[in-house]
Amino acid sequence: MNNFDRRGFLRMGSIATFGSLDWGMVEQLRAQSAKAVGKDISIIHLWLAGGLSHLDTFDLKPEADRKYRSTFGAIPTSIPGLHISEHLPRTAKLMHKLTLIRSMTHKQSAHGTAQTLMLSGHDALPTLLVPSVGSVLYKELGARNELPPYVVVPQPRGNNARAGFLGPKYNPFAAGDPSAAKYSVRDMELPMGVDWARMEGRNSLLHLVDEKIRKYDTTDTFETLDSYYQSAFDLMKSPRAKKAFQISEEPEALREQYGKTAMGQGALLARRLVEAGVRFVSVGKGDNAWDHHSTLFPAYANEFMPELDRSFSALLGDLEQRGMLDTTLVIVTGEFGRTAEINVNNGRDHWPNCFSLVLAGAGVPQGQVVGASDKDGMYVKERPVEVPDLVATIFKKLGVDYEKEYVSNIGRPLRIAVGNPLSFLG
Amino acid sequence: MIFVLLFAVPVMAAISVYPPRVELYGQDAKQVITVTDRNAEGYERDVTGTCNVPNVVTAKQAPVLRLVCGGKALNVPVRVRPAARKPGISFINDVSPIFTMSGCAGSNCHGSIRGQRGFKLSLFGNDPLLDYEAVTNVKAKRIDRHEAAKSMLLGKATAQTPHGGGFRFAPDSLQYRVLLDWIEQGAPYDSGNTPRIASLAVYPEERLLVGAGASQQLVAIAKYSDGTLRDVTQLAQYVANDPDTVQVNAKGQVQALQAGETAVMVRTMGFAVASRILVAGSVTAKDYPAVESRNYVDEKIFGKLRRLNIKPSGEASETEFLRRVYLDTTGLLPPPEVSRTYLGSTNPRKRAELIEQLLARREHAEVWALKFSELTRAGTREAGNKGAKIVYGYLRDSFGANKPYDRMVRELILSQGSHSFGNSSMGEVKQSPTSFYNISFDSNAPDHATNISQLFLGVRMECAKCHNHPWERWTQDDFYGFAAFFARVGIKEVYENDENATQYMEEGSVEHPKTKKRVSPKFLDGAAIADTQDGDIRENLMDWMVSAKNPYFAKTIVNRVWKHYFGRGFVEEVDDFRVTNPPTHPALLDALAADLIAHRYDLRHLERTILNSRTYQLSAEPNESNRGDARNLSHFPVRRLMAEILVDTMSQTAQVEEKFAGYPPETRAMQVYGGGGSYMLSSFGRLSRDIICERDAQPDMAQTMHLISGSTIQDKVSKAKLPWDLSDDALVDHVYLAALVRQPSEAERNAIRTRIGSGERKAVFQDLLWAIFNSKEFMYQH
Repeated sequence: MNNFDRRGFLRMGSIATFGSLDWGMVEQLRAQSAKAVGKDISIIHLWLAGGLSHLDTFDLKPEADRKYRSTFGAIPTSIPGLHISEHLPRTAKLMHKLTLIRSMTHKQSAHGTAQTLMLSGHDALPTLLVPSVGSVLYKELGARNELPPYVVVPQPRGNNARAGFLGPKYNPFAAGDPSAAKYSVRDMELPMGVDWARMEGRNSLLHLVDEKIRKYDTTDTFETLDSYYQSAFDLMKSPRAKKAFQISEEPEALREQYGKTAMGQGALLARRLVEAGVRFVSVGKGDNAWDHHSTLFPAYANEFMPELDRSFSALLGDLEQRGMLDTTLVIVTGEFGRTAEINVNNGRDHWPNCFSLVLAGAGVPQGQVVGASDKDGMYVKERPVEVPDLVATIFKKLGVDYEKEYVSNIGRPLRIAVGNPLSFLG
Repeated sequence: MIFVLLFAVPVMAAISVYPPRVELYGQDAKQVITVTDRNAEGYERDVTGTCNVPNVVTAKQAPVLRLVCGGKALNVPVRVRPAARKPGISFINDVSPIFTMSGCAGSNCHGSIRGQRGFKLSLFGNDPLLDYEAVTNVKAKRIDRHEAAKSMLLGKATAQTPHGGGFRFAPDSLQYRVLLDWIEQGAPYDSGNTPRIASLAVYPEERLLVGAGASQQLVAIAKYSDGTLRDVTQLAQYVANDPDTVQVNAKGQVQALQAGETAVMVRTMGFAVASRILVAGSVTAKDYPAVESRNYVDEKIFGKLRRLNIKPSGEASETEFLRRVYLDTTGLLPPPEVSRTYLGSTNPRKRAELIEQLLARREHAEVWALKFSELTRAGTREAGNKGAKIVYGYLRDSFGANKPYDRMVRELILSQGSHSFGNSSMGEVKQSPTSFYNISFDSNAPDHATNISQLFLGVRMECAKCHNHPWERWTQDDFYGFAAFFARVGIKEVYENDENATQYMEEGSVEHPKTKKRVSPKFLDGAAIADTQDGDIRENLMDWMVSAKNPYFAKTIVNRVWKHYFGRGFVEEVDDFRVTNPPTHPALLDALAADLIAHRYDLRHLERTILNSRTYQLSAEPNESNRGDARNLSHFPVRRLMAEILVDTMSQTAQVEEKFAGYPPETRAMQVYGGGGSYMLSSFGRLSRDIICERDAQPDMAQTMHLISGSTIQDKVSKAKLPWDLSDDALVDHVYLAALVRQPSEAERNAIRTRIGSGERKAVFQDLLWAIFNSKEFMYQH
């Protein structure tokens, strides 16, 4: 029994009275609930923030007019008759293991609102911050082991990917950029010159200082705060957590295979974290890196697509080899697609009306292509797929009661997912 | 014992009945009544159960109902008037309300914006025509006009056929009967002149229940468009905001569960009102202490505590008060020399004098400037930090000069000019609120309506942007009417973002999303006016907003200031004033607002009133009587300090300044006008200003790890410039006085002595600073 569980057990009696639980207590609650959950599925989200051009990657239109047509060639894939971009050669060989949706659609053409929708399954509301999928998973499913259940690589941007009205407790844990030289997680190591013996000494002084004020607390605020300190100490001391973030332990050959890039090392770190117990890992290049309003083609050809191709294919192979693919859902998407028309700066602009999304693992049907775009890739021609439905599907897959309703801080109720699960995703 | 003496023996001082006169419209009409006994101490209780007749009055009892309750008699006039309505079931008035009371029309069910399984009702019955069309939709076959009892609607509601929402009512219930009769009558919709509900009232508006188990019957009466009344007590839906304090059943009977305070929401036909229910553990004890009141704040606060039999804590010590008032007004700790002087002073007026000095400090203006920068979302969008800087400067100077609040808001609302360089018509002044409207990428009149109503009127209109407000009377018409005041606010886009500016345009209009018609400007709760095109219609809005009669404006700022000093508004959330979210101390809120208006919106007067009250100066240490009280200010509420205060007071204690990227040296966190600022600030709740919201003071893991091993504390600790020349004991005293404004305890002093004896002196003080900076005493206001 680790520390989370033990403390959780000791404090079960008071849970009902203060409603602010630490990871371990949530874990305990789950253990107590009789609700059977199928497979314990984790999610790795390759987050192409900025907006992936579907027209230059998964939905090329070689027949389109010059002003629309990608300069990239289309290559055959492991699904007969299906072609994708020449700059995704590794992915092309894996298409028979994936579901490709070519008919994603929504109406949000600004990064912020589109990212809110994609990361939460909800439209952005004027005065309410909706919780992201990872935060909901944290709240509903709790933690496994000493690890934070929801991790963002490198770090969340703005208010998206966050917990919103669920409260900061459910915010993602920022892992930083694992492709950096001498990578370490922020504040995870003790400061220079302070070892654990000295920290224990500091902590005992802290308890002495706190003695006087304790009697002022009537609402368990301080007890909750103490539980955070204990959880932080546990995390910082946990060999399992430390090890999970020690990406340098991976064989050099595998690190190379993933690519020594932000996405590559991020994907590899994600695999390690999921292995150790994290439920949701988002991996991106930071900021809105994929926002190519200009010079899209050289950027895609020289950096972005090879990086994605390597990291995604290596991740799938690695997960499969370790027998983790059945319990890990891999999602590849940006917040929207990009315009069919190539602009004067040789880039493409925001386009939410039609774009592509890739899923793999966790029982998602293999070798499936869902929906289709029209001749120029501007609009959905067949089987439109909406984000709220996709999000409902994901929650259902993970055993989360997506019809459950939260009451937000402003009293406005919000269902965990407002869509309906899609049957074609297994 | 007291409870037994007063109440177990039915000795009645006076009884009254509600409604005092029963008006029945039609021979079939009924009226629920409730009888209240008020004893000599002023406590009231529902004694309806002791009466000689049931609590439902019918026409048979006209013209006078003789009530005998616990030996006391009372005559109640009962008047039967002609039925206002045609005979038969009315969809609007009888059928549609059933969907709300049975939980079908909630937002988690068929009232959801997407409906449920293809069946969509209006939210809480605010649109009966929509409900009618959904219920009678021919394709959906929800009702069977030939065999009414076989209607899908009835089968599902009674769970005789599978229903995702389960059982709603039984086949022998009144609801079932009404629906069945209505279908059998041919499922008609009402004619155009059917009277509609015009207002809803609940009795009692406020009631104190004493002891768990005490109960109260609520009575809900609707007033119709034709002036007739209707008892809707058994047609309404009841929801307690805090279900741990009371429970309420479908008949409107409230039962106390434990001491506390809650609103019980009463909802029907798209209207909602609330009854405020307080639950006291016991009546005022015989030995309840006399508590001195210093001003009207204390009278109201202590008066309520007395009624609830909660004893306030004693007064805060001088050290406690000194630290508290310094932090709240200036965001800083008192420097050690100031503390020594203050603590040594025997001046009996020293608290009041200190308050006066602190309110005049520049740092005090900076605290409010930062808060309002956040509320007005300064520096969002492309104006960035340049925009934030001039807004912050404007706010700081305004607060610093104690500009009347109404004038400041007028300037904000009427602002025009360059977002980066201010308003050139203001000459050399580079402090102006020009980017006030520059809040989001596509900010438009509805956005301004949402923000301005929330910020300055404490009214959250945004629900009414998309649908009529579920708990308030705001409709989409109200929302777009308010938005029309901002129709001509435009942002002049220039390629160089620096040059962007807010302009009041010659043209501009707001269109109603449903009717697609141009909407005229309309005051909340008021009349529509014409936008004349010449002149600035926002002037009219401002005149209405700041008028002494405006029910929202003064109360909203009073509530915000109150929250600043006590951690909780009378109304919480602070910008969510509505009938169904009543204040904890309505009379005090009104009195403070009236006082503010009488003093021409002098905010410093308001602050002075609050800070000089005994209420503000109570100890944070709870006593046995008030330990469970979290909202009546029986003891000073403990709360975590703002991120900026934490950083600034750490810098102050260690004498090591914090550096903020993009700001000059010696900038304090409280002066960092833009969003973000530093890792510590953002991880401790500083907002990115994407939306108006209150900061969250709850801890999280990233914060905790940063406190334990992060650079902010580590930097202060390792570089601390303490007066090292002092003796060990004197240095300990210095650190405690500087950081915690108190002397160390013997145990603390000894622990440090022991450590110095066995380790390096400097390291010991570093460890002490770490411990203090991580301590709750340091991080919390108390």
